[in-house]
Amino acid sequence: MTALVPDPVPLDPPPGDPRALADLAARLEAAGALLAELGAQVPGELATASSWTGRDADAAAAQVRCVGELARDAADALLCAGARLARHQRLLEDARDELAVLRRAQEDDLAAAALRIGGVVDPAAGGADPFEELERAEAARRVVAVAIRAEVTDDAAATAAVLAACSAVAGGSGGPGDRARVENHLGELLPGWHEALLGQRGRDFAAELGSAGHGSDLERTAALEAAAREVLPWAGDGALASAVLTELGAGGLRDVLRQLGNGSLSAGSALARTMAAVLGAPVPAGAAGAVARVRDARHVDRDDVRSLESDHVALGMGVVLAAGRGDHRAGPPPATVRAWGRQIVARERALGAERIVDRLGPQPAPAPPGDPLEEVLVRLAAADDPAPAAALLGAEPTWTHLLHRSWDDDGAAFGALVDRAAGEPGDDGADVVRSGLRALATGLGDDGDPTGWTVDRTTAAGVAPALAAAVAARPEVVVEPLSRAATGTGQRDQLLLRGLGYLSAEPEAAVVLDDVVPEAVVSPAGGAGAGPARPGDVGAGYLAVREYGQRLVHALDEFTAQEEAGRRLRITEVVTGALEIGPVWARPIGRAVSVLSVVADADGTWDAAPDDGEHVAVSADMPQAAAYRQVAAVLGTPTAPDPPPIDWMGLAADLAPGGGRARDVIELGGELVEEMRDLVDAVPDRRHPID
Amino acid sequence: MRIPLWTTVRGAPGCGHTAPVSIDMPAEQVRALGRSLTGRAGTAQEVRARLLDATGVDGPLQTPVGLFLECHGTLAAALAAELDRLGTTVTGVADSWLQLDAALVPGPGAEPGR
Repeated sequence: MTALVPDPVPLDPPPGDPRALADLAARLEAAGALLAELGAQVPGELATASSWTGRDADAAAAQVRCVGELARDAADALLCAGARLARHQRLLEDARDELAVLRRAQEDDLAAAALRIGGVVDPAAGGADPFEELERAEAARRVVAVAIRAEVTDDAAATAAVLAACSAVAGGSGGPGDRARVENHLGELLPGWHEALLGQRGRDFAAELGSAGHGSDLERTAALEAAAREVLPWAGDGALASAVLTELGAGGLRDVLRQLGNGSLSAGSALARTMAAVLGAPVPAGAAGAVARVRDARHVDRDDVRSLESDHVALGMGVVLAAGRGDHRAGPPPATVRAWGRQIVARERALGAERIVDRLGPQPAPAPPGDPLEEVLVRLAAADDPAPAAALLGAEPTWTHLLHRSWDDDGAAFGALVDRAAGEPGDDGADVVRSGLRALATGLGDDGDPTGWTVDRTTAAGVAPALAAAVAARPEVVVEPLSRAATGTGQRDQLLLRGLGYLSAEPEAAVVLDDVVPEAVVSPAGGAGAGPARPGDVGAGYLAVREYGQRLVHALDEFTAQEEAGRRLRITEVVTGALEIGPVWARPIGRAVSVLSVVADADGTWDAAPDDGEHVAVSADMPQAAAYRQVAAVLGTPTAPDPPPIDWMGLAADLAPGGGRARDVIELGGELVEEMRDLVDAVPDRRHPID
Repeated sequence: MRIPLWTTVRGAPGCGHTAPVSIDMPAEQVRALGRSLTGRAGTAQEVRARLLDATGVDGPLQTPVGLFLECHGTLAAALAAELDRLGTTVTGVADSWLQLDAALVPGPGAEPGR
């Protein structure tokens, strides 16, 4: 007979070590007792200095009581958790004991069944089928074992719930993410500890930034991002921020900015957002000086024009500022932004007015940085305090540079900055307006020749409405120079008045200026027109400025056309010159190019445009005519260049057979005639003999 | 010279005036309080030491116990740090007042304080 004994029902002990639980419960009980004692003693310490009164004493007592209360609550939680763990430990031990009893019964039953099946015991001696008996016993044990395990499992869940509830005193919930919750909760109750914790975290972060230089660029970037993501939730806290910046130092901050400026991380990256928050955090008063020295240090080397390191640093500044756009709490304070702006301006000027953002050229970077100077302007324009904006724009060379360069937003941020800076009260705001007007005209010749003029006319147009509004808000800035010029003493105001003239040629600006400047002049209470000039003289002078502006714009247009014609002529000369010295068959092509150059205005000529600008004059018989003339004399007379006549003779010589020799003869003849004239002029006039 | 007090608002520039308030500063007592508070920090550190190890606890309670101990370990460490900082600050306040006193009330034969 073949019989199969069923597999024994598993009766292993349930998971969990009762001894470990007992040890833990005892430790929790002891810890709870210690904390309870602490919670009782700490408030009692206040009796040591019971006669200490005042705000410091009140603050100290409140915090001591808070610590005591927290210690007592924590003690209760520890004791409660310890008791629950001890209860679970006893249940677990009972369960293990019961299962051990079942296991022994199972072993006995299996042994008995084996004896009967093996013939050691005569089955005919009576009794039930050994298989059936074993199966019944096993079924009964299975039911009991399942119940025991279920009881243990349920109790473990209930114990876990108690542990979670006991974590609430520290702000925890017994689930994932408790660390941050606990730190935030305790941070509110225990500010001293929180400050110390964040300070340490900041120092650790700074150390990670400094040590992330190993491996490939990709690995370095990933390491920096991971480190930044860790501290980002607290990056706006002053304790962490000051620790990061003082630990980094100026050199470390420069390295981080350089990393941010190399195009591997965008303004949306964790590192950029973290640094923006760190730089914008309100640091403790004791660390303010050290932090300011790090933030405001010279990070961009103006003179290092051979390497791109400072360019990357400047671009990194732009990335940080972009990361803080729209959030006043993020990004460096306005004074630092101003310092950064000055550094960027100084470098771009040293680079010959080349924009840093253009210097690196198009690169296949994952996150190409934007124009850092535009970010500086955006930030300062949005600042509550206009002083930093005024401090930046109070310098005429800065204005000159900002007007020289192009802007991706056509000068919108520049205009907003002018608006903000001009809002600074006092002389600083007035200096902004004066510097702007003078910079508009710097480099212009008396005849309007723009050879030394560096203003980008698109940029100027973008900023003109804001500058005109600033003039309108401070008319004395222009009225006083007009007054001086109207009385013949305004030569030193020439640059400012020319700038005003150029500004007034912008239609949007003219509308504002025309409304306000004459009003300021005639207003008896305004005092803006006070000076030696007679009533109406300043108004007449302003008309002269308007006239100058109109003529200047036409002259500038013509000078631009002249320059463009010269550029086209140079191309023509290069092409025809190359064909002239080429093979014989190419010469007819050269002649054709000569003809085409005349048709296409590539011969140095251009079609002069009529001056259809507004003419603003004062009738000669009006009393203010003298003032008008005085101011006009200070301003000078813009004179548009005339296009040269088409060189028909030269063209004919080019086209006629043997024209080259004929032209040589004609040119030689011309030179001889000139020399003869010079000789005649040099001979003393003998037509009137000396008496 | 203006001594920065503990309750001085951080980061806020002084306006040159303090609110009218009655102040009594028994410096030695306050120093003693500071020392006591610093000493109590040791008790909290001892509590933390008892909560560090969860070795041996396995099964379904392993994770809940780990989270619980981390939570209360942080709390104990925070209490220790706070007590230490409180003690240091209270002692510092007493020292600041003594410095102020020394500056305002010169000793016999000393130059008048500013």
